[in-house]
Amino acid sequence: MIRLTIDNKEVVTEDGATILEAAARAGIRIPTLCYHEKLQPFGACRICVVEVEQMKGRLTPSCSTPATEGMVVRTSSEQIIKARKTVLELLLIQHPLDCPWCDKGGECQLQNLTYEYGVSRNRFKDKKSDHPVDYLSPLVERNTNRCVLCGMCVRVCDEVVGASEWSMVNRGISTKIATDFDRPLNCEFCGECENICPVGALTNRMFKFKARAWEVENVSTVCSFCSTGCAIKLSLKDGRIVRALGEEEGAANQGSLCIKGRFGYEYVMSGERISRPLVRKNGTLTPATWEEALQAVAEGLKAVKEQAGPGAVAGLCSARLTNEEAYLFQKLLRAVIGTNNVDNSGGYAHRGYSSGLSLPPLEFKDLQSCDRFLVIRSNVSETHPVVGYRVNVAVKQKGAQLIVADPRRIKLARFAQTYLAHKPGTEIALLNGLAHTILTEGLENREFVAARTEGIEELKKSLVQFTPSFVEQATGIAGKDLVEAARRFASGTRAAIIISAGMGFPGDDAALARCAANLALITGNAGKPGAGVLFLGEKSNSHGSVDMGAVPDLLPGPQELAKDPVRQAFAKAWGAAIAAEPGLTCEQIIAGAEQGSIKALYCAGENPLQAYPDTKKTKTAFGKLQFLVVQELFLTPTAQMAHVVLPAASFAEKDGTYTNAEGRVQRLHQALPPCGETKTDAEIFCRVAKALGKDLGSWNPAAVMAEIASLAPRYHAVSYATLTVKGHLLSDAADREAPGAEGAARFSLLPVDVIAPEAPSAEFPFTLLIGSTLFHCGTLSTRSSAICSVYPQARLEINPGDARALDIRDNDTVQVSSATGALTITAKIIARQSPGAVFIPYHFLSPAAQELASAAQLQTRVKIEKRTETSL
Amino acid sequence: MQEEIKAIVESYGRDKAFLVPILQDIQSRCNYLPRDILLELAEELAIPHSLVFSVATFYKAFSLTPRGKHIINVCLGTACHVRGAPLILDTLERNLKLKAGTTGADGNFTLETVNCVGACAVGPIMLVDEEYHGQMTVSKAEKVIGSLKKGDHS
Ligand code: SF4
Ligand code: SF4
Ligand code: SF4
Ligand code: FES
Ligand code: FES
Repeated sequence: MIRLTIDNKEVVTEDGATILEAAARAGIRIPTLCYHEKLQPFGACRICVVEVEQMKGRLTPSCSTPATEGMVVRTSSEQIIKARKTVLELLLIQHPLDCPWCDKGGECQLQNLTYEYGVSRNRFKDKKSDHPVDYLSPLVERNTNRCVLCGMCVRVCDEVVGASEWSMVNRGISTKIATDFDRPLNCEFCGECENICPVGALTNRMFKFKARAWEVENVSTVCSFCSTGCAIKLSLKDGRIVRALGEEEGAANQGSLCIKGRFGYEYVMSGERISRPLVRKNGTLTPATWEEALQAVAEGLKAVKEQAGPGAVAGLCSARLTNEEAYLFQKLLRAVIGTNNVDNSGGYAHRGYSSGLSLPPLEFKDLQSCDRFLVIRSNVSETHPVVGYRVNVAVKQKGAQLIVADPRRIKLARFAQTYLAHKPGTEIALLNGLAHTILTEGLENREFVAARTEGIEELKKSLVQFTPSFVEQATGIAGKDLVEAARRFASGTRAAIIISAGMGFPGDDAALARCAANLALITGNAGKPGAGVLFLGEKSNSHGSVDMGAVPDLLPGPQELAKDPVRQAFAKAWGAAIAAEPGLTCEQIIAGAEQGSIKALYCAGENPLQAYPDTKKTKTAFGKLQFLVVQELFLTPTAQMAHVVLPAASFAEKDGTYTNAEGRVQRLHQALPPCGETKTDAEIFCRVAKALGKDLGSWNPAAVMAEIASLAPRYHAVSYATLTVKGHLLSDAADREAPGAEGAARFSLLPVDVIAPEAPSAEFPFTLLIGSTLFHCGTLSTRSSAICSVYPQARLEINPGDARALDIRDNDTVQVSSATGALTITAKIIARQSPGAVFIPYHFLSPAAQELASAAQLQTRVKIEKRTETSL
Repeated sequence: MQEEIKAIVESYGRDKAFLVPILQDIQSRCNYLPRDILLELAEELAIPHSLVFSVATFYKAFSLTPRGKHIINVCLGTACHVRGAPLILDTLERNLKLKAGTTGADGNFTLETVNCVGACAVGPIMLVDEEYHGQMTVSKAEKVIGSLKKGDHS
């Protein structure tokens, strides 16, 4: 701790703090133009100068001068004000002062400071800057005439985003920010640079001429895409969203966003939204009243329930329903219909955290104190970009060591000390190999293993076969690289293992999570901040959907359905018996539909015909259903098959909560009235129940949360009355006892056998990796035109060597076929793609990668043929 | 070329700290810094494209456009300036039909300016392909250029 005096005020601050930070702590404001707490100090603008007595009154920049014991600082004096005015005058010499049509007007730091310091005339004169404006870059507009060269765009893109797209070029008076050779942006399009730019040099093109900053009303809510759960503010004008901003107070994201959060909200206002209920009449979906539609749903469900029993009804929901809605959905199925047949995310994408992982989640902010990362089956920079930013900061700024295991040379591989390009689908063997090496080399944390775990002997026995040479055979990773990675991992004090889940990944997440937990536990990486396994669900409420029991074998909590007292408690609360038998998983539901044992299906926001593997099979199965009701925003391929379509409100049109991947419950606030006649999913579920003659209770989200809190111990303390913009971190996530602490829970080490993926055959020589791209999340983002402007269509990523062998050139059309299906697609030759494997993102309707996959197989094997002119 | 770049990068132990000398080597090999090569270099050194570009545009010694067979530099430092360097520059611009900082379409001359080359005592200074010509006058400058032009024709 350091003691100093600022403006006659005693200030105590921690070691290493700058004068600026110390002042901020004491509530003393010093103006800045090139400082941001997320970035390393730069000291370029000199607006933040202060006087330090010990420096004989010389002016010193407070943002980059460390506070020292006994310092006496003045933040304002005649001399300081004069210096700041001069800085502003110099900045204004060439500045165009086109404030009336600059989109930063009203929230521009240069404008504000000029006003604050009363700089109404300029002693210096020169020509106004007149560089051409860059209108060619998508989403971000660059007008370097307005630039103050604070370098924040350059630094945020490099230090936080890790894209390093901008740099300062040229020198002296002609210095400007540019990309290499001044080409238009070709980057991650996160907009972090335009957001941080204190002036109007970089601006948001979607916001261009939409509103003056002071005209908008900001509503704080949560991003609807991935499970990072970034807190956002939607700016509204005239009943429309005109932009999205990161919420600086947001605990998950500290104001940062990725392309999806910043530019992806447009789907909410899409003209393609379904605005009225639709009922199939004479074979066609026809607009109907809510009354008719609800009646049709009640009749359809009742008929099946009466003829074939409640077990012939099933429900699939999206992991984008709010907690309250997911809760009501499973309650509708369990308590009103009488079945446990409820699932989400294909039934496999949630297995990692619903049944695999027994460790409490990591808090994102603690990632910045990690000294080791193992990133495996996780292109986290693309699936959960803002979590990726934290890894960038830890590795690039704080010197954490990074091990990346991925068949594709993903972005993080560039910053990694160890990069392991293993064969696709062999992550489990790799993790077991790491654990084996650590145990045989005696690198485990013995004290922790003895005090906090059980099952070490069984684990050791199960790992015997995973010698470096065996693992080399299985994964293609050389023994010495494995050993090096194991040593690197074990030598850390706080290690985080990061894994992404998603509909595009193989369905062995539960086993993968267990292996990761074993590795974390033997190295003592549990029970302390920043240590453990971070399993990242794909969507905004992937974790909440499981917590709310929208899975066949768990009740809200999540609590095990199999346990009698648990079931009894819910039966009592709901006034309905709950079957002890777990329900069917997604896969079983689809198989049931095909065989005729499932006759009615309720899809709430879920779009299996685009997102689930083996589209053809799903389509055939759904075609056999006696009754299909789809509750949706858009007329998706699944909705097109429905008997009744119920139009649902989007995330921006409702209140509720999401639970993110770190276990933070965050509040959505309604920004817009529901579009057309749409209703929130919560209201629809309650109305469906009513049409079935039952009462689900109130659909008011606060009341539903109160009911959840009364039944789910982890959610006891969650209440709308106390939820702030920082959300509520669920207790088990916050609760990290020290190893060996009295009464601390013991963790089980669970042996995992490897299921070896089938080898590529002569017929299908390539492995198809299906996954997410940076630019999309699920299938929803394909409805946002801004996102589609930079990533409009799926393309096949193929390694240059493979492409050469097949005589494929960039942008050639190729045919990809597997045992399950075939499609044509544009090829993109990309060096990061590993040889023998190709990649297709799954979000799109056409070509739809999931047509090639099969839920029955871990790896999809394909063949690739170049389409010649004649075959087209 | 790819091989040559690799060899240069290799000769500096693939260390990105040597970016400036690597760029110097490339420039002396290619006469300027071609775009493709810079992008390739960034990949080789595993550094952002933007960083290479930033460094390449920071130093006046680097050129991103092809340079002439002869590089003429006129010193405009204070000492040379007061002894009539601007007049020399004017003369050369007219004689070579070039603006300072550009290269002629025929690729024979590049005309540039510098600010002091440390030979103030014998200013004004003109450099021809790194060779110093002191105490320049308009007629001397024209003569030097004339002989360079003649040399080109032969
Ligand atoms: S949009 Fe993001 S990735 Fe692109 S230049 Fe700006 S900060 Fe960098
Ligand atoms: S563009 Fe904006 S953020 Fe970047 S250097 Fe200029 S003023 Fe700063
Ligand atoms: S998609 Fe994920 S990382 Fe991106 S802004 Fe939304 S919540 Fe944040
Ligand atoms: S804020 Fe301190 S120098 Fe810019
Ligand atoms: S000013 Fe020309 S050499 Fe010094």
